[in-house]
Amino acid sequence: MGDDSSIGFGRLDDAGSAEDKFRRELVRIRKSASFRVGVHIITAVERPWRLILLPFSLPWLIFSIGLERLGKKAIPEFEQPRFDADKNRKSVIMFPTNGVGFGHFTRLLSIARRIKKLDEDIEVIFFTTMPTLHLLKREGIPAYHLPGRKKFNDMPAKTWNKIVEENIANVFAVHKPSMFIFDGAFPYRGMLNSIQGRDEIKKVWLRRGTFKKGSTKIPVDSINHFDYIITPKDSLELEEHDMEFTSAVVKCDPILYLDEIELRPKEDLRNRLGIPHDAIVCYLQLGAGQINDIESDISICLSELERHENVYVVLGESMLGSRLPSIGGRVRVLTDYPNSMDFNAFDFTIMAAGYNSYHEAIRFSVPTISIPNMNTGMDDQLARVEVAEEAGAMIVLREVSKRRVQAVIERILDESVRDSMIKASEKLHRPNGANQMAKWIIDEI
Amino acid sequence: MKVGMISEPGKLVLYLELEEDDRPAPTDKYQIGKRIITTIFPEDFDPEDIHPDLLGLSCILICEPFIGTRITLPKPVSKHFYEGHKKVTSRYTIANVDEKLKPRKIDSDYVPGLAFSGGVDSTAALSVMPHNTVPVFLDRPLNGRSMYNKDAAYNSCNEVSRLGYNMNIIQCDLEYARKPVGFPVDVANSVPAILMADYLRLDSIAFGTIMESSYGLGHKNYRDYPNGNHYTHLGGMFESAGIPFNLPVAGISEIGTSIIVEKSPIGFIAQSCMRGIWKSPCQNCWKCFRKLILDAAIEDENMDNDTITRLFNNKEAMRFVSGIPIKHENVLTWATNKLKIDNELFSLLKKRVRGDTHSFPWMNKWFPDSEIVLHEKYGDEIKHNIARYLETMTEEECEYLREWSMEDMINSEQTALDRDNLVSNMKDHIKSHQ
Ligand SMILES: [Zn+2]
Repeated sequence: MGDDSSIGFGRLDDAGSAEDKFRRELVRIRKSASFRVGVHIITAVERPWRLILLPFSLPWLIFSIGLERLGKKAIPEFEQPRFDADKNRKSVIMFPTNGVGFGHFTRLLSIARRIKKLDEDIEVIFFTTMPTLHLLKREGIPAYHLPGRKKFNDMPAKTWNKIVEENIANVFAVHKPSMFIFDGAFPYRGMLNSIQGRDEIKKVWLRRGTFKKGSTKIPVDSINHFDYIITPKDSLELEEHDMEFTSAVVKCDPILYLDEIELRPKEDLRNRLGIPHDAIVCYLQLGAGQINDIESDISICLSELERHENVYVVLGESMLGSRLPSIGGRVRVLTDYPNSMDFNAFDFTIMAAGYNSYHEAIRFSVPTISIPNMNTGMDDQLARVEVAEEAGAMIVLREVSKRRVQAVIERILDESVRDSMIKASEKLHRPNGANQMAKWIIDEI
Repeated sequence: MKVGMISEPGKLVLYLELEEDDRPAPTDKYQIGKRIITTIFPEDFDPEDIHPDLLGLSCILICEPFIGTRITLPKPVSKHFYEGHKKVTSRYTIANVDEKLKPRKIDSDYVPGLAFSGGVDSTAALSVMPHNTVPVFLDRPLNGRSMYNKDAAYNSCNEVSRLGYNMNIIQCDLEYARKPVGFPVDVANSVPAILMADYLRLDSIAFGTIMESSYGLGHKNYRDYPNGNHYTHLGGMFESAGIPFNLPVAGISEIGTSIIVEKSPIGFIAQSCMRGIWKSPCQNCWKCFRKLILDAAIEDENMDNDTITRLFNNKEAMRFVSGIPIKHENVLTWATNKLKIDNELFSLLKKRVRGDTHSFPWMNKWFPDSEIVLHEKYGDEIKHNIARYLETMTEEECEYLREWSMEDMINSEQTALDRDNLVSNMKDHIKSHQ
């Protein structure tokens, strides 16, 4: 292990990296269908008794390769050169992809910043497709950035994967990490190629949800590239994985960027945004875009909130999306990271039920009217918030109509209602999984 | 009467045991029915924790009409409740008292309860109650023969819960203690809430009792409700058990509760018809008949001929309009007066209920005398909320109400003629549309 901090960076032009490049090329060739079919035929020719079986064995091989391609069968292991774990540095490479929002990025950053706090000797490097690198700077985390494939015009997947593979291999060669952590819904082929055979690096996949036969489109083979699958819990009890894979499963509590003590004081945001201290402040985050459509959820909420004179609205704007138009009146816009930094300032929120928003609202006990997004495929937002609804910690709007919105806003404006929601939230508090994972990682490297 | 109990967490069974001087059939209209009453609570609620006074009050509400001279309760009650009960009850006494038992204690952060049914009146009550009100629905298990459809009530409860209220649906078969099935005492619908009062931290219990039931509006004569038997006897017992009455809509007529439900943001949860399914009333019952006319009057909409034809094709309504007075006749007077509809049947109805001569412009307003039956802690908030939807009666209008009497109308021969005219026409109408 890389206990000895005197181990320095590797060099890109070290034989190691060039050798690695050829090694990976070799693995690729050996894995290719044409190579394997060719070898099969040659072996048969060399041993004529196998020639008799060829009409049966060859279709079987092709069928097997087909299954592997479909992810129904594991690809056989190929002989690999050995890398020496003793030469690893105390370094962790984290690879968050960009999903719809900040989910993957925030999760890894939450862990990374805690590792830095617990042990400043550990190097944490981001390798990411997310463009928000300035957020890493604040935490002193250096990053390699590779734009996502769609950022390039018509770049073939093969080309992009090759860049990923080469870049990660280079990062490995230089940083000699003890651990590699991926956070994304679907592992890129290029990334899998670069980590395959690197037995000296602990490979971790941080991923929400369970692997389920039929519903998961992830090939078993991709999962088996990882030594560990880390599954952060959600509001509902986790279901057990029902696919068979070799990786060990580690569970942790929901991962949040901030701990309660990091939240800014209540007056801070009010002073910054010019909101009277005695006003009731609602944080409204429902995805932008449709604010000009008066029938949209966000517009209905805004117009219902506007009827109450002591209510100010803070619209949450994402750093990734398009800008919100300015509305004026008692509406302000907040584009911070993370916006939960100001959760002390909000008397209540109206939000969708994404994983992060939900767990932040619960952890920081902010009374919430939740409008779950029903079209998020695998991410069952309604099931998530129903747990809080049952506990009395959130009000869930399954359909948005003027009357319903008016009714729930009137209720939540009542302090006694908010107090009881706060009490109910407190019963749902869990420790921060980011702290648990930071400690786990430090122990593992 | 002796009442025994057996319980386990989440379940309470009460046994009614008649004694010699009890009254199994208090009148020829009804008699005692089932003598084993079961209530199902949440799993984490242990009926052993119920304060004996609350338990005692619940038992009394279940068997009061059948008690002869005394009742022995499952657990001896406090001296406080015993004395309070004695003060307002002359017919019978409580047999067992625990001198050392402290009365129920209410903390300042306790919340108001409401015996909720899903209907218009209790929805109106919820609309004007504080937002932290805890509604409790008594869920009567069905025996198969009933016309009562729980779909609408369940949906109402579900909607209330989805608005973030701590809605409780508690299964209890106490209505079977009476034959024919019904509440032995009208406020017995609050029994689940009373039993759970400490668990739910309730400081009072509200009912959707409207002015027709409290002050006698639409009945023969005005009733001075706060000094009448219902309020002093039942209200007094509740008070001494530590769960006082709160009657937010006692000063509001059925017209007023319909207006509140129409205007209030939570009004959409109400369903008046207990036979239809959610959002689709049966259109064949007396309630549906009244509601169609009343809603049209409130919204100032006239009815087209098709609607009228369907409206009067209602056998149950025909039975009801043949009564003198008609149940809730005041509502029909007010509503038909506002509606200008050119239709023979409608005109006959209007004439019968005096909608052609009486307008009762005060009937959609709040009767301020009823302030006295609001729970003190919530009085101001409730009054404030009522004012959002309804005007307050002037002193002159209050006087009209206090002088309410239907005696002349009841005794008038013209009324009987008008009734006969209406009923025979309605009968022909129903026959021709079968
Ligand atoms: Zn009906």
